[in-house]
Amino acid sequence: MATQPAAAKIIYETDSLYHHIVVREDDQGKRFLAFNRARGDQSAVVPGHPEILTFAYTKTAMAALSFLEREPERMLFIGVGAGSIPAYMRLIYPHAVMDLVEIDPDVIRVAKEYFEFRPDALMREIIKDGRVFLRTAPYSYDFIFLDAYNDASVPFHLTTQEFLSLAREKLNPGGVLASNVWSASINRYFNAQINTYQEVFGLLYLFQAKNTGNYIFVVTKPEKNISRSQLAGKAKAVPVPSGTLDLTGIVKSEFTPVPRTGEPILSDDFAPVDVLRYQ
Amino acid sequence: MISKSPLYFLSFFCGAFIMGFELLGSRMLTPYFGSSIYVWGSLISVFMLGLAGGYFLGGLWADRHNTFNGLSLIIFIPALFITLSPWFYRPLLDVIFEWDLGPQAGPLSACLVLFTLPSLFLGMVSPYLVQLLVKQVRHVGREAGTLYAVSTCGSILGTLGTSFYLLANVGTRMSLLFMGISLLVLSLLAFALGRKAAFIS
Repeated sequence: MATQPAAAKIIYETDSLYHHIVVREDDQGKRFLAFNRARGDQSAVVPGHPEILTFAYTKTAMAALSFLEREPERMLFIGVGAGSIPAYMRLIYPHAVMDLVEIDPDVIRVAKEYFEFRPDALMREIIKDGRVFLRTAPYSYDFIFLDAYNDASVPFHLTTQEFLSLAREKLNPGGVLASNVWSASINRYFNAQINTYQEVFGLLYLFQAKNTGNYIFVVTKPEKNISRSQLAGKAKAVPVPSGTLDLTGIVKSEFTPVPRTGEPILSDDFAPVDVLRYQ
Repeated sequence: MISKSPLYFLSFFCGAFIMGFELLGSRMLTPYFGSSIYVWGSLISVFMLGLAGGYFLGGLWADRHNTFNGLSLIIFIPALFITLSPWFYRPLLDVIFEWDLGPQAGPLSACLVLFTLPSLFLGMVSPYLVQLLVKQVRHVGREAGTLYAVSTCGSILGTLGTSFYLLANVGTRMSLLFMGISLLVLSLLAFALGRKAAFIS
């Protein structure tokens, strides 16, 4: 999520089932995906260059990989956007099977047509609601990344204790789940979300993308007690393409202590996320 | 002859609870069928189906047999359904989810099972009330129009009250229980009005 550079021109615009999709391009050829004309961008991509992560939060998201104990064999992405995160992780893990779940078929089409997202033979595209998919998924995963929340909408059924328990069930032992949670300021939703993750997974780790309201939540199964410096050590072992990302630096500087909060745990029965976000 | 205001009162709150229940419907379905466009499409169309059937049958029934006891029964059936729904809707949706009917037929079937009956009976209330009212007055057009306006104003309150207040404060199951019990009270009120009318005549 970031504001659009003034120079970027709209090169494509369409109404999909769920969004008003806008693609912009700036004078350096960088492209931006937005789901609304007025609000911030979802993704920024230099087409043909998956090794360049443009948005701060996409770099921060890679911190979650330092929690993995071994190379992941099966990865799940809920919410695809322009595809920059799976495309970059493909460079790190060339052999992982990747399931890409996206509710909006036009988002995947636009990712392919305008962002040069090229799903390979080990990637499976699934047009479904993330929770509906997860409940029927025949596999369990080593890594799950949730990127289905933005500033305009937080689908309540992807925030609840029941949903996170389902996701935990679908994690292999040693598996890692990371989630991109947007919160411009600390609000009651953010705090309730923290409590809900802790309730389901135990220890939670937070990374705040530099100068943004993007937080990456990271949890593991089983819970893992690890310090910032231990984690920075493990970040060195993640085989990121050389020269593209200082993962150790990110882990060190964006590691954020988890606040203690007294907000309610979100459940299918009670998840007033739209109300809590403004309190 | 009894005053018209209790009838408007009934109309207002039946209108409120039907929209409140529809909004809760989306909270009931989404954990099972996602926040897809098909969930909302199914939900709204099934409520419209129930209401259309209810208007028609309510009018037919009102011409044949139009008493406060009848009105009480019409409200009692959805009242009981909604009051008990916090206990049965999740196991029921689990079963329908397991049928794996696909992204459109899944939520549509769930809506048909959960929402046809209560919306049908709540739809019967308005035409049935019109007939009760015109026994007492001569201006049928004006009375029918006023009644629909009152019921729709109730729907506005039900929509805003549920989305702005109930969901934000008490959760889905408590909201269902609140609406169901309130409808049971309205059903009792209709029954009591019948006693009073019998006593007066």
